[in-house]
Amino acid sequence: MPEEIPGCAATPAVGAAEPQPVQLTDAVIQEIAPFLESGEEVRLGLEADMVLPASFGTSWLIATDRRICVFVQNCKAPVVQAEVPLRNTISIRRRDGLGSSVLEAHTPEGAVPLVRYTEARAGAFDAAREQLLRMLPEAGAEEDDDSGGDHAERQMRKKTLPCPKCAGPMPRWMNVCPECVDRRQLLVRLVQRARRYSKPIVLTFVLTAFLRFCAIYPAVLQQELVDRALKLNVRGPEILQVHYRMLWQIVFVLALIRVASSVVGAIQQFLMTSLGERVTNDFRMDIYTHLQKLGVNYYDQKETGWIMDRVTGDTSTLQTFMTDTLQKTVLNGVTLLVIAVVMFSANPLLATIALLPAPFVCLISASFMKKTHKIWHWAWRRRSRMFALLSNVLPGVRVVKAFVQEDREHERFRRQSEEYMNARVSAARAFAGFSRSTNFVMSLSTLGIWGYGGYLVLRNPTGRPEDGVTIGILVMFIALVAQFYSPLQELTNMSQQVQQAATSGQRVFEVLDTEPDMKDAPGALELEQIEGKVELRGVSFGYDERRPVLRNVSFVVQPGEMIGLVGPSGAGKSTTVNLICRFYDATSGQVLIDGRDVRDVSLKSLRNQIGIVLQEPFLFHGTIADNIAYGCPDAPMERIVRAAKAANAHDFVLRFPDGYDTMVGERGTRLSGGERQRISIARAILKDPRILILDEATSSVDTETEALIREAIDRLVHGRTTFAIAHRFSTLQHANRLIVLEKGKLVEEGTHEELLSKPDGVFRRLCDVQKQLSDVVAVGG
Amino acid sequence: MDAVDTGNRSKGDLRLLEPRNLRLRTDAYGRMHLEIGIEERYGPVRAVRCLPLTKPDRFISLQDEEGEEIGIIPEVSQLDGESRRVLEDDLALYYLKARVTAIRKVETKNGIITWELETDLGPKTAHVRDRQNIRPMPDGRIILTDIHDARYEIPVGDALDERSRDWLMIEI
Repeated sequence: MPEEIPGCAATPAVGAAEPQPVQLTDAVIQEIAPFLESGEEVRLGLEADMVLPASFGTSWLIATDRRICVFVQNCKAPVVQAEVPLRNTISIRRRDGLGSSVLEAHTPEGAVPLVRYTEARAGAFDAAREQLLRMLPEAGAEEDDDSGGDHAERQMRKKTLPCPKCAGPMPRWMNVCPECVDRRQLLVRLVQRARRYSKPIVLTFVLTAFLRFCAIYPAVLQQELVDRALKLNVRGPEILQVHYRMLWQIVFVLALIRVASSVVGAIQQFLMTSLGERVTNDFRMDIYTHLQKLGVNYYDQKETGWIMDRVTGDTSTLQTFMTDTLQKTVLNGVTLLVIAVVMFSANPLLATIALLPAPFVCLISASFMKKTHKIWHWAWRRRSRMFALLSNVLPGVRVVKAFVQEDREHERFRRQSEEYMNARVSAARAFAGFSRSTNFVMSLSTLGIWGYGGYLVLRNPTGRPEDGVTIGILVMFIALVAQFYSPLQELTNMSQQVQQAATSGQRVFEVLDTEPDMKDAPGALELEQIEGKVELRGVSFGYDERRPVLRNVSFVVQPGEMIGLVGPSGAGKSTTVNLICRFYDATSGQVLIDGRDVRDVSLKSLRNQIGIVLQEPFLFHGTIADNIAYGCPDAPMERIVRAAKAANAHDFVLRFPDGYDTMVGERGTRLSGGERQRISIARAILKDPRILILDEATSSVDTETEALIREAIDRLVHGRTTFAIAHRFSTLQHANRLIVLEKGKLVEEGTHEELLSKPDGVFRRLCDVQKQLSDVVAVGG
Repeated sequence: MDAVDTGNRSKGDLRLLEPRNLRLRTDAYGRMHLEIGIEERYGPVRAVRCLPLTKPDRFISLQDEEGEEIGIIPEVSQLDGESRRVLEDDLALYYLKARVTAIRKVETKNGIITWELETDLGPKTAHVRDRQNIRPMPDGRIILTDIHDARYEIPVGDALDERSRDWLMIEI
């Protein structure tokens, strides 16, 4: 169960996020009170973000038990802009526009515009409209205006939606806008995930700590070396011996530390890298496993490229965060502390001088990070544009040459390339400036130590550490300072890494948190071998719940019948078959197979009995034999060849040098449209389903291939309950019955002849248009 | 068991030929002739492999001069001695596949990968275009297809010597 991200409103799984309704405040209600008659009750009050006819502002829609009014603010006092008594209102209609909608009240005299609002308030006002309709004297749900289908499509293509928390803009793929995301909660989740790697993390932590120690300790030893081992106050053979011994001891220890740190360093490096790879791999697998569970609906909304980027790109960002950043932050903090303590206990004044530039370094780093982030983002966008230009023009090279536009394309690309170069040069300039200035500031530290430290050394009366600063202490300070500034810079840059990790984390968790909306109901039964009777009972459905694509559709199909689904585009044909396959669930009504509701059976057992042949046949990267046997991987070769023969595919397959072993798909041999269709048909024949969905390709093939495909389809549909979204008239003629859909409603049903004989029939109209077109073609030759 | 009823067979049906019922012979011009049972005679016929890379001895399609398929032999090993020899000779003539015994050198230049090979048919320099023509098989063999559509089968790693295996590892 994914945890709830606190503070964010629950969002529906499908499509647009619903913004919070903006109810009227008490203050507003008080202001309008004078306008109300005695005993009048306010039933509904909602604030809109526009003012009719077309300006941004605030209006208030109020509905009482007697009337509907709209107020706008005019010089501090509310003014009635529109008013309609309830008993005079027949219906409330919505008119959709681009980016805004208007609610209007329909009276016998005409329409009265009530209120206008932007997309951000759409959800709230839809609910308000429902409520108003119920309040009307003749309560009846009126249909929306004709914008239905188009509007739904536009919604699906929108790049940003209103954030459920703040109604600000939010990229489509997020549940909550970047401003509202609870970053802390995200990081907590990431850290929790890291817990399963606690052993390797602790191990690498210990090793890294040891390495840090190995870096710092020699500095302290150097002080000993200079101040004690190498300092001779008196020369004499015995004293010399003592000092020799001290010298060798210290050098030996230093050498030991060197060796240890090299060995441990190699081990640590290896462990960190392999841990990182493990983390990334686990993330990848989790995402992929979860993706497989998600329904078709999810893939309809997101582009494949986007999904792949989540699986590959974001996981590596998270890897860095979980293995590297977390550890480094702790270690750097400790390192800084230890160095500071050592320095201050040696000589507080010198320590202050040495560490004085530190805050400045932080400041420079921080401001640089902000600036470069902008510049890099700018450069990255130019780069994207440049690549987009390339990927656009290169495939279209024939068109470029035919229309002699080479020079123009050259100029376009030159400009993009130059812009990209300029962006990178700016970035380089900024970076050069930055690294030089931080180096300079850090060198001030060293200068300070030599300068002031030197002065203190000269002032030391005895030259011993107890009495002041010695050369040894000086040397130690120089060494320690070198260890100090890079952890400091890393810590300053940490915020950017955290931010990147938070963004990546949000995207990855968004995938992992999406609930598969098609799940087997608990106790779902296995569907056994079916007869193939399909029934739709009062089915309504919309990809966006507010805009239905199917309205109250009902029909019964007997086993073995072939049904042609006909209608203008957008009428709901594809949606109907999507519901039969249970890629989506109907919002109301039932889909029944052999009398059983599809929701009561397991998805697997249902889909095992349905075969599909799509418009755009999809071939996987594999051999032709693999592709035909995709639904039944254990099928013996004999069955594969039989299916291919029935689909009129066997002959062309044997013409390939590798026969059924020929690789097709992404990086394989290219098959023509007709060939792919027939492989797709063979695939369905092999599966031998009782119910078949045939989404006919509209692309044209030559007459010979057309005949072959038609024959193949005939063999395929024989004896199966078939739903054909038909484009070929031969298919329609073979169909037992035709079901005609228009705007989501079933308008006609019957045989080919029955429907043609209807004088004003929808089907007849479609046929006439088609016939006219083909007549023209025939005459034209 | 296959009934001799070609007349009732429709175009989309698969005809599996019973190997024990067949005879394949060559004529004076080296072309293959087919006899099924007592009544059916076809000639000249062509043999085409359905799965040349993964199952070269199963599912051989026999086609007449017009390219129409007569039937498919499911299993070559069940043919009588002479028919089998005739069939295998015919297939060997059409499908050129050399077995690689050693890889001397592999060089990539301008998108063409040149393999210097020792094969069971003699030494050969094969030019392969595109990575997709270097095809690993499920059982570990690798099939190279050169620019002339000739095929070279590289056996599973152990069968090659050390140097050949080094060359192979770079390419795969």
